[in-house]
Amino acid sequence: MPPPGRRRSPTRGVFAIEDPALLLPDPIALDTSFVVEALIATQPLHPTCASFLARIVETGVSVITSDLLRIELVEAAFSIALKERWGGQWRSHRADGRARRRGGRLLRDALTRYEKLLTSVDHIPVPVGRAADMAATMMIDYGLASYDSVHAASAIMAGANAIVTTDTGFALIPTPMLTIYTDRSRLATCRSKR
Amino acid sequence: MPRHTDSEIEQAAERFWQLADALDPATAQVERAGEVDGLIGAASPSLLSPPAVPSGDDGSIPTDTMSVVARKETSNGKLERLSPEELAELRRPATAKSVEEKRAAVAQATQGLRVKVRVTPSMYGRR
Repeated sequence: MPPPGRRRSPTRGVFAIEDPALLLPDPIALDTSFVVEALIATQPLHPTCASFLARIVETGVSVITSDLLRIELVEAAFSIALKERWGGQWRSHRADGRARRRGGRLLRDALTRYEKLLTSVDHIPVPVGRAADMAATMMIDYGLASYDSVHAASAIMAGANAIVTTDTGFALIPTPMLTIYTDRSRLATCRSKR
Repeated sequence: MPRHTDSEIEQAAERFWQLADALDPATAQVERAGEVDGLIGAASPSLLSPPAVPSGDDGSIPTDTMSVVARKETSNGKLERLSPEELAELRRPATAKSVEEKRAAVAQATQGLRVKVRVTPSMYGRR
């Protein structure tokens, strides 16, 4: 809640990345959910996220990420390979080696693209261990899930005022701590959590 | 008097709130405060009179200040920040220098990776 006497912002510190006039803070943090949508062309939000990523790069703002993002990309690559082979039963075939070759190719492709992206921005990667204590505190204080906490703590510790994400869980963080940049379809859900 | 569409007005309101939300009351620098005082004074001289409640002269922290601080701290009483030295050590400068190089890098990163399934958050460990 806002301090007494201060009007509550109708935006709740949540803004749409589709808005061409949106201001970009420097630095700005990226969450894995946004990067996955931007890198994988078959994702439903790919056009929106890839466009916003291009805008971030052209604007020249610095980008903050947690090192956890890379690990999540690896997890996503292997999960894609499993799901392509096993469909809805993919979780129960994790130990099956037959999807690993495809998973390895996807992993190399995704990481190569991620590295390529990082050549175009000033990048501040925050080690997971460095953010662990604050992440734990944020989980307790605001009920964030563990991975969200690590990304949020990394963003705040490195001085970001905003994080770009398609994960509405970040809206549990109080507005003054972190502004949320997300796609238009998630504005209402994020704002309702603040 | 120029007229504006509803869409233009909504966009202007969004801009305002984006700026307002980004404003940190603890560190904001106020310019031309005298003009604001003048406006407030004209509107209501009583607003410029000393507050009835002590506001920090006795060492106490005003209630509204406490609210702001509380929302910017975690339960352990601190919002940890990386030091400038740590940030400098972590920073990786862009190797693509020109706008064209940067555009090309983004295009290479974001174009052409197609998979046969939809990637959901649970596939990279999220709930």
